[in-house]
Amino acid sequence: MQDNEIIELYFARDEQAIVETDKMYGAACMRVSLNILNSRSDAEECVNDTYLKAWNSIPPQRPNILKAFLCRITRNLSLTRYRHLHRAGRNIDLEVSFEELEACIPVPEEQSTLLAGYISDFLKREDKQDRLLFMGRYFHACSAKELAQRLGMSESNVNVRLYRTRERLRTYLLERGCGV
Amino acid sequence: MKGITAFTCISDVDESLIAESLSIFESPYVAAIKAYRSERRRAFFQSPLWAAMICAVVSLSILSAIVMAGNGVFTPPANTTPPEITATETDTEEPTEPETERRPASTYHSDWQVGTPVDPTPQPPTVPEVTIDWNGFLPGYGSPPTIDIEPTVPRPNIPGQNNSSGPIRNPNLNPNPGFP
Repeated sequence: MQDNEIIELYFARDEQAIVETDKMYGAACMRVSLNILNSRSDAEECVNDTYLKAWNSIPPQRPNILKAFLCRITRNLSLTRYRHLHRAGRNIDLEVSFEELEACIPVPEEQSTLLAGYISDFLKREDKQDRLLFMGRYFHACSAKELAQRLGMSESNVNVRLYRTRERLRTYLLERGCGV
Repeated sequence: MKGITAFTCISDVDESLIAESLSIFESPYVAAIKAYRSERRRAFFQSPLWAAMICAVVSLSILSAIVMAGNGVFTPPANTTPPEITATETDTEEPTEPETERRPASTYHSDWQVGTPVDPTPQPPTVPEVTIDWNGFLPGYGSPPTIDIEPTVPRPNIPGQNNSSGPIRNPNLNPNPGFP
């Protein structure tokens, strides 16, 4: 089933929309949540909450790319849950991601939307490989090892490219007056 | 949990970037196939071959319709009645097969022709003649090797010993070692 047809089901308040969403994008949402929470049961709850949130928000919203819309909801819910469940060392790899990003993105939460716009502009100018690495690492919370396997690179190469991308992003944000 | 704010900020990036980054999780084979198919499809629809094919199909169908109409395919010919089948005396008679000389199955040969009789009796296999010389060796393989065998020493007849069998013993040696 195409995205448009699923969205029409949401608009018609047909519960089949949830079933079709789960069929099409359940695995992708699960992966995003599992990378952050590192717990299958917590991830399943987050994915279910994603469907509920999508059900509540799609009318009036009409997402352009349903997959990205759902992944974003899952990610936000997973991060909220991670904050709630956080214990020291619960997901070491994710903590490393946080620290890496903190070095190049300023912390204030009120500028979040503006920052996201800058980051989007920056990423669109980057090489596709670097863009995929950045999003894989900092959106999907994949480890450098997993990214290396999926993109056919060495782990050290992934780390080096990520470091250079972060440096460029830091410079880019500094030029726009919101650097660290 | 330092840096989680910056990490959360990435959630608000452009949806197209999120959708593109999801291609990381597709297997390289599937991604390559998808790219190849989309490229082929775009190239096909952009090429003039597409329009030429449609024109060719339409003109061929029109042409075939005209030809069929001209041949009277669509309208049955008038005054055509099926021929009546009447039984005659010759139909009642059973057909007599001409007596033909049946050749036996064993005489079948793929190159069999009329007028070339094939001998049904199987030919005995021909055995190549081999001349064997008096020594029993095939000619041309040399003569048998000569083995020098020393003549056996006649066994001395020593009274008081068993001379019927056993190794030849030196009569000067003590037959019972350990005893004088």
